[in-house]
Amino acid sequence: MSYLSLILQITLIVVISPLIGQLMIKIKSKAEGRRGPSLLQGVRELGKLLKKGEINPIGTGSAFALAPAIYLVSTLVLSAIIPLIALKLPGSSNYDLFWVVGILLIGTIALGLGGLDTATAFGGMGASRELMVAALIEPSILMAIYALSIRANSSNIFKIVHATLSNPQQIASPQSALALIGLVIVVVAEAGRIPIDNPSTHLELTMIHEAMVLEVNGPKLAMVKLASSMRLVILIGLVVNLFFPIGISYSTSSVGSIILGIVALVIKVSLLAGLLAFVEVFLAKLRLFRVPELLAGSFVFGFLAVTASYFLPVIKA
Amino acid sequence: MISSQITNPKAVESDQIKKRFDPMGRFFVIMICTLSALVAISATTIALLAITRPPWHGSTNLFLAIYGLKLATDPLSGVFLLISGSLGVMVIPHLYGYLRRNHLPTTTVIAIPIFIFTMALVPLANSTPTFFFFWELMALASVPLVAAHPNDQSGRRATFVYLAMTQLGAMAILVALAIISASHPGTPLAGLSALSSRDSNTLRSLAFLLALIGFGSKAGIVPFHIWLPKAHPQAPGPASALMSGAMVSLGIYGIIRFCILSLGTGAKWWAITLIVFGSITAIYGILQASVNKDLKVLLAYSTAENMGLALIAIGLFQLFRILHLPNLAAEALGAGVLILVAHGLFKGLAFLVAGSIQSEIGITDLDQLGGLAKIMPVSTVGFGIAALSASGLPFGSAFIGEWLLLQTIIHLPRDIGSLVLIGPIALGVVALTAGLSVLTMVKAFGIGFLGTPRSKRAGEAHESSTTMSTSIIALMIANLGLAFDPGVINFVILHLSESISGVYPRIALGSRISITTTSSAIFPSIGAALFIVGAIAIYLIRRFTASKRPQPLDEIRWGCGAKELTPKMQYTATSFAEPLERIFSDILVPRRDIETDAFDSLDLIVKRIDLRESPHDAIETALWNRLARALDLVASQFRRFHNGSLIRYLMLGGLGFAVVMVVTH
Repeated sequence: MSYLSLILQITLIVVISPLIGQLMIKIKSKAEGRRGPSLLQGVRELGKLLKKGEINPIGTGSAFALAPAIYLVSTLVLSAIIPLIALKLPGSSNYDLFWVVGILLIGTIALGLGGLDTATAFGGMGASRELMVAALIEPSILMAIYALSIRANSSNIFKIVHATLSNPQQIASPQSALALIGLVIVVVAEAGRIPIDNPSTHLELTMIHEAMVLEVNGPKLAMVKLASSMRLVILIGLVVNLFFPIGISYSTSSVGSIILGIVALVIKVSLLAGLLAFVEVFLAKLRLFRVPELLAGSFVFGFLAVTASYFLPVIKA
Repeated sequence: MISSQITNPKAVESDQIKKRFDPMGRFFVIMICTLSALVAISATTIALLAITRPPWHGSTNLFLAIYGLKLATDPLSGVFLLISGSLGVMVIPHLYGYLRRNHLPTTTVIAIPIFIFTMALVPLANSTPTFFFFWELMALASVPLVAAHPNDQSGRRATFVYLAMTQLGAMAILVALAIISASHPGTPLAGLSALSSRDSNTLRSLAFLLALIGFGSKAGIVPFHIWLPKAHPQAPGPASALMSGAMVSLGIYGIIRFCILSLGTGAKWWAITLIVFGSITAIYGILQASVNKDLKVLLAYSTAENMGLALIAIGLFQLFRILHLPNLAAEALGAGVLILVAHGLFKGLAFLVAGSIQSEIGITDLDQLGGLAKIMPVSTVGFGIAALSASGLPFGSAFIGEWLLLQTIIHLPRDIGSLVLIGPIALGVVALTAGLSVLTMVKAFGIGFLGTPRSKRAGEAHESSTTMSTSIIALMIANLGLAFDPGVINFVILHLSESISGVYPRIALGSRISITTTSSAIFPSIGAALFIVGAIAIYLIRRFTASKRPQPLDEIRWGCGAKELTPKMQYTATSFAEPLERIFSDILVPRRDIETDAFDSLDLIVKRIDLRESPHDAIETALWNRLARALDLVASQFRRFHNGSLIRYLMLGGLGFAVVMVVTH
């Protein structure tokens, strides 16, 4: 049953992520007074890309060929090591938050190396910018992890969610609020959303992620697109479960609680994703060299969260 | 900076160069390598015995007539002996291949086995004179390694800077050792810890600071790091591997042995000083590494970064000892040792690959490399593994140590007052360092090995010889072994912390790594298994859907309208790091030179723009160059007394002797 729920969790992420991505586009379109594409557009695009023949850019090597696959595999692995629908998954005692961050970075690096391997200015530019953002996210994300791990006395991600669930009053504490703000900024930056990067533009000199994958085409592009939307859903799912783990299944023994976990996750992720998309309507993309300021802000929130966790009294139920 | 001339360039004619750089005979090279191998193998054996057996000590009057030669083994010396010995063994085949292909000055070649020998004896020394003797011998033996290119300007400069820094450090160490041994004459190093606490605090603090400066200069601690990026590009690849992987770690050995153990439990500010220096070094080192474009300079700065991380761990170890938290102290020490062991392995590997590139292509400037993945596959995979480790990512050997360090930080006890602030600050430093090292290593690997060659020489290169590749493969296996099963060095950590703090660290090292008192754990093999399963799944799906797709085509890349892209259009190491250089321009202070050439006097239509930008070490110009100028000024005053008159020299000598006599009585 526990292996089944693991497979269920991975499949769920794979299935809902194109839909959630499309939902965000739909909400943005509506807010801007447009109709927007259908919710199934993302799935259709993936299907179309899968049917296309591959074009190998002359001069690229195995790094370019492998990068999309590694990016997708790392994302699939990510979806297997995070408590999204259940608090116990096979191997969950080994899934540390620092490890999760490392896996996240491996995907970014694979794509960055693929971009550099194309030997074009666009590939290099995208890789350089993406890695700069990734390097500056690292302190913020680890600081937020630190803040969260203090109350659970562990950096094991399942233990942290468990601790929140068994002591829900902690969510209302200032340290949680500070850590949440820090993490949300990190998620926005890591997923390449406005105001860090604009996923809907092409051929704009300010873009980051899309520049890196400019040469990727056909089924490989499908992999990259799927993995990118999965990463967004996984990160949003991670944040909602770290702070609002309501509905997550305690164990993997009962079918009912797993179904409840799935439903709860879909609703929570859709809500937060919708909120993010709605807020994006009112924001403009930041200039690349202003991004570090935003990330430094996120770092400060994390820092304050840690300090608050040490100096403020612990709220006990 | 400091102006000096070791050899007069004009005196060395090109014929003489040829004579001095005679192709090295096969027999000579085999002799050197066998000798080095013997020393390295015996060092490793002694290291294993030192760690697992009870402490041993012995002395002889044969060697150093006045003081006698005192040697001893304990787990601490064993650990550092193991790092240098095992790295030495794995480097030998590469050394053979390198020496067969490259013509080096004979002194450099002869210095290699001596260097390995002295490096092995430093941690074994059991009295202050013996220690200082071998320390200086090691420093001197390493100088010819740096002086491998005595005929070029930067080579001589590097040698001079290295010599100056190493002697500055040695002087500081000498005074520190004098203070330590003056209060406890004749006490062996291993027995110093129990005695020292009763000494005056000022004297101990002075000794602490001097020892920190002295050993810090060997470990490349900022601001004493300036020799690292100068010396490493000069030394032949296998020698830089040994210097960076093993010799630099001995600086940390000195800090543990003298600043922490010999001086006893010190004041809290000692520990905080260590953490602060470690933090500054880690961040400054990796920032410089991220903007530099020469592969060996980049690796040298990254060495400073790793020593900074190790110093943070050692500082935490010291802090927890002072706060009477022996278990946490043991964990911090374990983290520090793991960082050092992993650093020896991955930096050794990276420098060997850099050595292969140096030997096969002759260029280590990343802006002229590229596309090596297709022509040097073994070196590419080797550097990939080294880069993965150096970035502190999962499946890399450095991840374990950095993870343990992070665990030590996040499990700080609440009741230590305002000292808990060390937690978030240290974590911020480690995290920023980790993030920047990812960028640095992606740059080194992506620019140097992927893409297309940026110069003709890089395009025509071949994989290095089989013997050289043997070393690279051996170190690759060692890195992966440590990354997936750090249990292989579990005995090292256990024996070390038992001998130092009397408790076992609550770390369970094995294929699953965990802190036993908390529920934090990682299991690299499971992570790798998940990756393999995912990769197989994707491969199968691709195979399954392949029949529905048209045949793949080879097409030219999109060139923004241009038909064919030239290698010059690629991103370079400089452009890759440009955003970062801009963000951290306050710390890095890059040199930027823009020249605009206009058509008309109004500067409206620009004909050409020249932009020259080079990273440079701001600390070197701000601190050391000024210091050197000041020193020069003082020296020029003293030079007045040097008029060549023997009578005056005798008089001054006699006066000096009299002053010493009066002061000492």
